[in-house]
This record gives sequence, structure tokens and C-alpha cells, in this order.
Amino acid sequence: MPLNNYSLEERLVEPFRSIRWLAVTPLLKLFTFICLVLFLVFWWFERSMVFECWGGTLSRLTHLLELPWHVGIAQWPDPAHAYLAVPTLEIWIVPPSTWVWWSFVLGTGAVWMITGRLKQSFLPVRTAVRFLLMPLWITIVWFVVFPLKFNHTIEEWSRIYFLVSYGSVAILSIIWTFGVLWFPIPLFTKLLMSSLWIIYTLFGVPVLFFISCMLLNQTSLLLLPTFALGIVPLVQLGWFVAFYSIALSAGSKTR
Amino acid sequence: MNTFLLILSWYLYIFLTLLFIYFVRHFIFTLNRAFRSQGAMYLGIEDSRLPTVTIFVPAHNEEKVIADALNSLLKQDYPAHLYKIIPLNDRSTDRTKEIIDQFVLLHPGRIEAFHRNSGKAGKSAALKEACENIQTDIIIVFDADYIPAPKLLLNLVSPFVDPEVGSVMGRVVPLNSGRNLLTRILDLERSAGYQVDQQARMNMGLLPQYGGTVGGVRTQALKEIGGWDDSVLAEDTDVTMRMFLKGWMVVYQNFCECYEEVPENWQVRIKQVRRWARGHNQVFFKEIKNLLKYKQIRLIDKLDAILLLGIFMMGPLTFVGWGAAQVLYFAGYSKTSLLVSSLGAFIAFSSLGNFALFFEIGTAAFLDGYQKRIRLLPLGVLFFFVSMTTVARTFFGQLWDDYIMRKELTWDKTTRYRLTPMHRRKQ
Amino acid sequence: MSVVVFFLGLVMISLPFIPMLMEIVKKSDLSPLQISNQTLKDPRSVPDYVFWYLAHLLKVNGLIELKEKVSVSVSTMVGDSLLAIPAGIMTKLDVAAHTKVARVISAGKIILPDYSNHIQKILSLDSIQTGVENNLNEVHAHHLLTIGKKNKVIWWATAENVILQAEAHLPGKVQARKEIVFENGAQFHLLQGALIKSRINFESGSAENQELIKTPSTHIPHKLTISKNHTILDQVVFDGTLIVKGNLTLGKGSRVLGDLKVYGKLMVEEGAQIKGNVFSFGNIRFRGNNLVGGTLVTNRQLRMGPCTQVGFEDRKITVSAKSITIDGPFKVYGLLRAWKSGTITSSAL
Repeated sequence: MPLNNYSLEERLVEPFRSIRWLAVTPLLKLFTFICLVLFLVFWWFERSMVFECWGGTLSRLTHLLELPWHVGIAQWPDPAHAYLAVPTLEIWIVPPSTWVWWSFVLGTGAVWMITGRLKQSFLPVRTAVRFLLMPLWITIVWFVVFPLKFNHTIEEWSRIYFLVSYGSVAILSIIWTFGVLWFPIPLFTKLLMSSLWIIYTLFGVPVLFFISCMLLNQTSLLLLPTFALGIVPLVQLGWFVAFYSIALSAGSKTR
Repeated sequence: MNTFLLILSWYLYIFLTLLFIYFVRHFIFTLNRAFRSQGAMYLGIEDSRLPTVTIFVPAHNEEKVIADALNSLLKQDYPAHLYKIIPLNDRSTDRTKEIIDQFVLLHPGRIEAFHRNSGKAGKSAALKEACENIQTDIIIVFDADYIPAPKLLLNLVSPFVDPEVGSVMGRVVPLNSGRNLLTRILDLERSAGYQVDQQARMNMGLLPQYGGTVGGVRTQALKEIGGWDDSVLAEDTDVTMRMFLKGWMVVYQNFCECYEEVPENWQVRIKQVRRWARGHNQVFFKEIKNLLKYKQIRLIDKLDAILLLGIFMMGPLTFVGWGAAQVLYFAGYSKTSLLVSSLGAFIAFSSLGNFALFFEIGTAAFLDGYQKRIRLLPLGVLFFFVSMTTVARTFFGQLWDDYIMRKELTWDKTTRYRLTPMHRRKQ
Repeated sequence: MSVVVFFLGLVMISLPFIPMLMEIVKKSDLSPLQISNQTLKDPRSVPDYVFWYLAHLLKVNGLIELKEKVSVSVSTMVGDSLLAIPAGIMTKLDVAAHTKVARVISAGKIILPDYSNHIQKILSLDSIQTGVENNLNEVHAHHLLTIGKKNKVIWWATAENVILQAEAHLPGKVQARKEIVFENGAQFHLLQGALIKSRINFESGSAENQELIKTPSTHIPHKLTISKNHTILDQVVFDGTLIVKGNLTLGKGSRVLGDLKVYGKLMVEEGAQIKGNVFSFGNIRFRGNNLVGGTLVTNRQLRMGPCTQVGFEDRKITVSAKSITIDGPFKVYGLLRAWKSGTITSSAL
């Protein structure tokens, strides 16, 4: 006669297991929630401190490499309004010449063609590369149709870069609280991964900016939209998801 | 020119708002699944008056898998006189017909063959034709690659004691998940889709989706909505929507788990995504008007249903949105356009990676107890490119085919990988 | 120099991805997810053949040979010892008070005296009777299981018939192949039996009503959806399925001949009857002397007044709610499940 035999124990395991049953103390939840709120308040009101910290890393890097670059300040939304003052690198980059222009067209085309030769199992790589080439195509086509003066600068790039990083950290810290701190993961893992992510936020963000500037300096500002729409958000999210997944895999238990 | 830029900027704002809504939606789903109590209303209902059931097994060239499916369906823990299995052989050119006929001979009265050699191709057309003379209370559909556990049928049927339930859906679990990187990632994706997304919608009283397999419909409800529609590719989404619009409920049963096969190579995966996207978009265009007009539901239900239908629209919208951001930036239209869109790109990567927030995938994998496999999660961001590109291409192709060229629909079958019983014996 | 820094930067960016890359190469997690519902029969139900198999085992090689041929007293046995009493050697096992036993299997009747016997697993091929205030983890009797006053069944009890004498605390599951009879109040979680009832007998509704409600309908009842609160007046018969997207009150002696689904609260006045299944997202209250023919499910509280019957002898159903309170005599055919707390109040029984 018995058909189903779900009982209390089964509710605790499968299929109704939820984090609620997996015992994370309410006190810890409350504590971390307060921490999150405090962090977000800090992140907003003490933004100049964060930008200074990022700027400091940038200047140390330029000194270390003895590059003829200077760390400056870029105001947002425009030079007259100091609503947000993000660090920037004062480099003058030559606007793209015809030669640069054509080499970009050829280079983009060549990469596009080469990715077509990739094996079927590398399809995501091909798609990813081509996806990131799309902004480049648009840039090339735009300046073919409207051959205006190229008036974009590293300062603009620094505004975009640092403000995006700034916003994304705020968004991700919310997910980090609910997705890692509230989950039943060993405390050591939680602390380690949280501090690693914070280190990457404080030092990785300016390093990545520095690298992007080096690339733009060596090539051309034509790459700016590709960086802004593709590579930078991807890398920053990648760091986060990497730490997040390591933390989760440490806490996950076979059902 | 200025008008054009103005339109573009408006488009960008609307797109980013939409993107943010999806982000928040999946975030809320995940929080609900992880920390709130779970909807268990239909768990463990036993009723000695069981309904009569017809199980359809649509099959098109399924010689590798159909025997396993039929065998496990015959072993269901359900009174044998109350259910009948009907394999729908849709113009198979391999041994499928032969295998089905053998089963019919071996189990007279329990399996009834339905062979099709003419008429419209595709699952929905086959189901429509086969359902014409069905007298049973419930219709359950299993794809031919599914291996249902013995209790599954009973648990799938139990919610139908609720007079409002028109359709029920179980959970799909990949069997070949360990084959390669693709299958391992797809396993995570399926996990998120069912363990978190569907279950959260069930918890919150929103609309879970009937997925066309490991699920079923009430015959009366199906008749009321006018049966299967053979003009759409995604008959499951179509039925979900039409049931919703007629006031029938769709129930998701998280513990009704069933193994299936997921694509093992990229072409097949892309074909599958293309079929889903196409079918989904078709239903979107078909039902969006009715959905907007439909008044007898909560606003939140309606919004969720619209978002559910529109998920495959986000691919092409993302493409256009990024293009628009760039054009606006170059035109000097707005100083902030690229800044805001970069943040948008960030949210897009995170929330549409595998059509879900990575938080959602992580939570599902955590609940399912995938330990080290969760570490593959950053790859989901890479998979974003494939999904987005496929979905966008499908959308534009669809516009071209359906509305400009007026082409007839074709049905792409998903390739199977399992060894046939004969091959297995040889090994 | 700058090239070196450039590559160092790239290395820094890629460091967090190393565990992922290792996982791609190592492939440590390849097996598919284990799914539930895999087994054909529930592994934890004790079918008859288990009892007969055990009896056979005991006959052939009694695990412990006991010299005395009559009743045996066991006192203070602690630990994971198995006490097996072969059939034929003894017919009755008395366990002394304050005993802790891991497992007891007996071919004969087992009698547990009063007070705090902690027994992990107790299995009798005949019947079991327990005294006052015992803690039992698992109890299986082949025939009759009589659970005495203030006993606690922590995990699982099965028998052909179960009698619950008074104030039993049943956080586990109680299954009977035939009847579960309550002689007094109890706390429960999951009860399953052909019939679950109180000792006091009653007839729910007139014979004519019973017949009408019992006969299966030959037509598909029409469906009516009401989008606000509703009241069905006294003595009204509604022939069809009713869906109310608000609260519903069923008047005295009224009848619904189809299913009933209520989004809000459901109040069933005295003597009202429902032929089909009842679903509610809110609380359900039966005033008393009610009859429900089908399954009864709610997300919230269910309160059943005196002389309420759910299901029939030929239709086993499920009564499932977050919390259930039963006042007075009742009959449930099938399964009675309270997800959080179930109470049978003692005052009315």
C-alpha cells in the first residue's frame, strides 16, 4: 500500500533542501548584512579614498617602470565638475593615421579568418574572439563613413574604466554577501576568498587599467570600445566568478 | 541624424532597463530558492483513485534509445491497466519502427504503436495527430532518450488532483554529463534552470514552464485550449502560455527527476539553442498580444510571463544595444553612453551567461552537491558568446525566413549518443 | 622591462582561473547527478516476507541461545548488542524498566514496561505492547502494536494494527496495514493506514448523503471560477467544480459535488460535504460532522471539528497541511500528514 514515503529527514536532504535547512546562524547572517550595508555606505561616501588608492597603485607602477607617464585626475562628468574624481594616466596618444587604419582593417580581417580555421571543439573560442571583434568592425566602419578627427583620449578611457569597476564592485558585493557569506561554507574559505577578492579589487583593477593603457599606447585608441564593452567587464567578472566558484565548491556536499 | 541618435539613445536606455530587470528577476529567484521555504503543496499526495494515463514517446530515428525508454516505462510503479504507452514513430528511416513493433508484440495491450508516414513533420504535429482520439484523463510525454525511474509516473500524475492544474513538469537531469567539457557545463545550466529557476517560480506562485518532456497535460485542459499547435516549433512553451491564458496552472515537481542526454558537440548544441530560440520567439509573437490583454491575473504574474517569453529576445537586443552604445559614443551624443553600456555589458555577461545569473547556477550546483564541478563556473561567461550569437542569428534569420521569405518550418532533431543495446552487448 | 611587466600583469589576471583550468584537465567530477525515486519499492517499508525471513533465521540459527524457556527479563543492556529470541524457545519477552537496548528481535510478544526504555530498534513477529513514557526509535510488529501513554516514536513504527493509548508523541512515521486507532490525544507528523480513526465510532452524514457522495460521477462536472469572496448558503447543492479566488464559506448541510479549490480561507459549516478533492492556499476549518470524499490539501493550517470523515473505505486519500488540529472523533482513510505539527486534542475524545 505505501506509495510515497517522504518524511522529515527527506525534507532536510532531498529534494527540498534549501540553505535554510543547512544551518547558517541567523547571527552570522545579520552580522554580514550589516557589514554589507556599511560597506556600501563606505563605498559611496568614501569614494575619493578608493580612487586615491587606485591612483596610488598606478603611480607606483609608473615609478617602478620609470615610464614617462604621470598619474593625473579626471573629473566626471566633465573637467569642470568634480562630482567623481577618478585617476588617469597622462599620455598623449597619436590619433590613428591612415597606416594604422589599414593595418587595423587587415589585422581584424586576418584574425576573423584565422578563427574560422579553428577546430569544431574550439567553437566557443572562435565565437568569443569574433564577438570581441564586432566593436572593432563598428569602429572601422564608423570612421570610414565619417572620417572625422579622432578625438578620444586616455582620460575618457579612465573615466569609463574606473567608474565601471566602481559600480561593478558595488553590485558584486551584494551577490558576495548572499552567495558566499550566507552559504554554509567553511569559515576559513569564506575569509580567504573574500580577502583575495578584495585584494584583486584594490590592486588588480589598477593593474588591469595599466595593462590596457600599455596596449592602447602600443596600438591605438581604436581598441577602446572593444575594451570597454568586452574585455574589461569580462575579466573583472571572471575574477569574481572564479573566487566565488572556488568558495562554493569548498562548501558543497554531495547529496 | 539627430533624430536617429535620439532613437538610439532611447533604445539603449530601454534595453539597459530590460537587462537590469532580468538581472534582478534571476537574483530574486535565487534568493527565494536558497533561503525561503519550498513550495511542497503537491509532494507526497496519494490517492487510490488514480487517473488513466496515455504516455506518448515521440520518436524520429531513435533506434539507439527507444528500447531503454519503453522498457523503463513498462516498469512504472503504476497500475498497468491504467496506463498505455504510445510511441509516436514519426517517419523514422532507421530501425525505430521495427523495435516499436517488437515491443507491441511482446506487451500486447500495454503498448500501442502509432506510425506516421505522411503529414507535417515535427513533434507538435505528431502529437496533434495522435491526440485526436485520446480518451484518458492525462497525457504524459517523454522524449525517446529519457529513462524514467519507477516512481516517476505516479509522482507526475499526483498534482492533477488539484482541479486547476492543467499541466505538470518534472526535472531533467543529464545522464551523459561526464562526457566532455560541454556536457559538464550544460549539466550546470540544466541544474540552474530546474533546481533554482523553475522551483523558485513554483515557490512564488509564478508560472513554471512545461518543458515538453517529463511532464504532462490534462486532456480536458488540452481540449479547452484547442489542442497542440503544429505551426510552432516549441509546442511546450506554446501550451504553457495558452494554458496560462485560459486560467490553468502549470506545476513544477522538483523531485520528479529523470535522466536525459545533453548534446555532446557544439553543432548539436547550437542546433538545440536555435530550435529553442526560434520556438520561443514564435510563441512570443503569437501570444504577446493576448498576454498583454489578459486581465484576470496579478500584474507580477503577467510581468513574469512576459519576461519568460522574451528571454530569447535579449540576444539580438544585446547585439543591437552594444552597437548603439558605440555609435552614440563616436557621435559624441552622450558622454556617458559607453560608460553606462559597459556596466550593462557587465550585467549582460553575468545574467545571460547561460541564460541565468551565475549566482543562480552556483546556488543550484551547491544545492545539487556538485563539488568540484562548480569550479567550471567562470567558463559560463565564455559560453555567453556562443549562446548570444546563436540566439541573435536565429532571431534575425527567423525574421528573414518567417516574415520576409515566408518559409515553411523545419524540425531539427537532436542527435543521440547512447550505444544501442546491440552495441552495448558487443562491448 | 615593460614587456615583462605586461606579462606579469597577465599572469596576475589569470591566477584566479587556475582551479578552473585544473578542473578542466583533472576531470574529477564526471558522474551524473544521482536522482531520487530510483527504486521500484520503498526500501524502508517492512513487508511481510521480511518478518517471515527473520522468523526463519531465528528458527535455524538463534543468534543468542537462551536457557530459560519461559519469560525472560532483560535489564540494563547497553550498547550495540542484538538480542534475538528464537521462536519456540520463548513466547514472551518482558523488558525491565530503564533498559537501553540497541536492537531487539523477538518471535513472540514483546511487553515493554513503564518509563524511559531507550530502544533503537524493536521487532516482533507477534505483537508489541509498550508501557508509559518510553522512547522508541523504530518499532515493527507483525500484528498489533499498542503504544502506551506518553510514548515517543522518534523515527518509524509499523504494524498491522496500531493502537495509540494516550498522549503519544510521534515525530516520526506511523504506518498500519489496517487501522490506526487513537484512544486519546496525540502529536503526530505522518500517519498512514487503511483507516486512521478515533476510538469513538460515528456515522458521518445520513446514509442517503453518503451514497450520493460515494457514487462516482458519470459526467465531467462543470467548472465555475469566482474571483472574490463567496458564501454558499445552507442546504445548497452545487453540482460542479468550484474555484474561489478569495475566501469561501460552505453553509450548513450544503454539498459540493465536484472538486473545490480556494485561494483564501475555507470555512466548512456543520454538516457540509464535498465530494471531490479540496485544495486551499489558506487555512481550512471544518466545523464538524463533515464529509470529504477526496484528497484534502492546504499550505497552511487545517482544523477538523468533531465527527469529520475524509475518504472512504474504497477510496484512500491524503490529508496534508502545514499544521493539523483534530478536535474530537474523526476518520481518515489513507494518509494524514502534517508538515510542521499535527495535534489530536484529547479533550473531545
